[in-house]
Amino acid sequence: MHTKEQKTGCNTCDAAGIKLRKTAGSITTDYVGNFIYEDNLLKYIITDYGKINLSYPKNGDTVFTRQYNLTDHLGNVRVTFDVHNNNMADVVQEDSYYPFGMTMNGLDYRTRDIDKKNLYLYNGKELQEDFGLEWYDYGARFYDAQLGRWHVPDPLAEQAYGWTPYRYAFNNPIKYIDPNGLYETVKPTSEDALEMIKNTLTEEDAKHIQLDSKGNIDKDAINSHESESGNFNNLKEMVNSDYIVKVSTDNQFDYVDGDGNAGNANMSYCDYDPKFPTEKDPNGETMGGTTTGESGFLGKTLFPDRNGMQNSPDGTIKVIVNKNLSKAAKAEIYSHEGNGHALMYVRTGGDREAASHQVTTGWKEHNITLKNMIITSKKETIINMKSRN
Amino acid sequence: MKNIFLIMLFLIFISETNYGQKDINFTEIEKTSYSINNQDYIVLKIQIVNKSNLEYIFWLSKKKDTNSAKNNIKDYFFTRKGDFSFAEIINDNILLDKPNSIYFDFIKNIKPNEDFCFEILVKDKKQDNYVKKTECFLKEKIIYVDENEISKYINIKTLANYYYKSNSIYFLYDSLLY
Repeated sequence: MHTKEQKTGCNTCDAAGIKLRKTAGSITTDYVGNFIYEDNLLKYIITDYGKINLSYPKNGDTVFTRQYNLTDHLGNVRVTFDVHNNNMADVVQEDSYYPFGMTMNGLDYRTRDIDKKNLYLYNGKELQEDFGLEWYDYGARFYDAQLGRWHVPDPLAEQAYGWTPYRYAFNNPIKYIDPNGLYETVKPTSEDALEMIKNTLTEEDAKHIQLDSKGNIDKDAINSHESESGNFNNLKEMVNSDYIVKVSTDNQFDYVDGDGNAGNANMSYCDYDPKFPTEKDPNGETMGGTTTGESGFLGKTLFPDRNGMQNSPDGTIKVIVNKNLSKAAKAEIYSHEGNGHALMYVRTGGDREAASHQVTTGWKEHNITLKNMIITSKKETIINMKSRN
Repeated sequence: MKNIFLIMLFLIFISETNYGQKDINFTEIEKTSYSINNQDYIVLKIQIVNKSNLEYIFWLSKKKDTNSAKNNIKDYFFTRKGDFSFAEIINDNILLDKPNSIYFDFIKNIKPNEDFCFEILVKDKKQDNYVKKTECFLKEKIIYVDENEISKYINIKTLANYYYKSNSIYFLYDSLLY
């Protein structure tokens, strides 16, 4: 158990920085997962769409009121509303923000009913209003949106020694978010995705890939193992980087375009067709081919900046591999997307151009560094998959 | 019963072998002659018109399969040329700013009742059967597939970023012969 003593009050947190209790003046707030108690009375329940407020009229009843949030692409809550009995939405609160999170008072709206007030605002984090500090609780640290800085250093500051450990989102809060005040990691979003990542590795190296309690690849487990495998060290590099890399298998994906408009794209799939034998790439000599000859829209990497035609909608790097592919092809395409595009983006600190294909006359790859990364990783994956059979 | 089966088989065969054929009309619309420095030129205009209710996408290919739209799509979009297939370029939203062979990345949509014009510059009036040869070239090389069929394989919205912008394209007659 770790306790953060501050001049203004006392927060009790667990080892991961998750707040368990806040004492501010005479009021004690307990955080039990999504259930928030104030002076031992259940005050509200946090939900995926907002929260459920509880009120206790004098007649002894308990009244539940659902409250909904409308958020932008960074998870900032812009409008909070609840619903009347006549099914009409009633706006409770409107919030506008400067890039680093300070609210624009002139554009805000607050209902007079103080019990309905929503404090989950910038990046969806809870605003700590106690004692007039107005800091946001990100878990590992408190963030001061008025300064655009953290008040304590980054616990993983050594991962970006060229940056001040007090910076927020690499000084680019429109491009990046910092979901918990820590450096982030690789997050497979399904068992299938985790298996796909493991299939790029030797069986011995794969034993050290496991998920932590948040569903991310466990840093301690991967860092406890040394290997000469390029694929293993690529994964380790991403896990220890300052980016969230979400890996999924699917046949569609959501994106936002350069103007911030949301979109969705389907991923086609074609079985191997003997009429097109050149689709097979048995030794991993090509960037886009597979040993199985399957074709279609095989994989996609979405970057968190807004400079492409299709960009990540949630501030993370998203790697999507076509879920209809065979196991071998999935691992090969992950090698392309994850150990090529995503890793290059991480390695270059968000250089989209360096992490993207550059096609020259005759459709030759001009980005030789990226090409070599992809082909080297694919070749290793093919060997590792063969050794499993 | 046997006859009905044979008729159905024939109809299926017809529908497979002529996918889209009846929807697109080729028409020779104009021949213009002129002379510069004693060199005669003819500009031959051949128009294709979409008579259907569907949007069509067309391209030029050296390997046309008259029986299968799927094979034509796979050949044009999924076969690698150089380091990439056209589908990879489209799916990765790669900007193509370098000139490439017309058989690599020329792609054009044609909406219902809209037309597209091929203009061919013939350098010498004495060229044999240039009209017929040009029509043959176009019919042999043009592949057109309706939007519903192509959207099974390629995201139409993304593909639209690669459509040829103008409503006409120019060729030198001699270049068609290679």
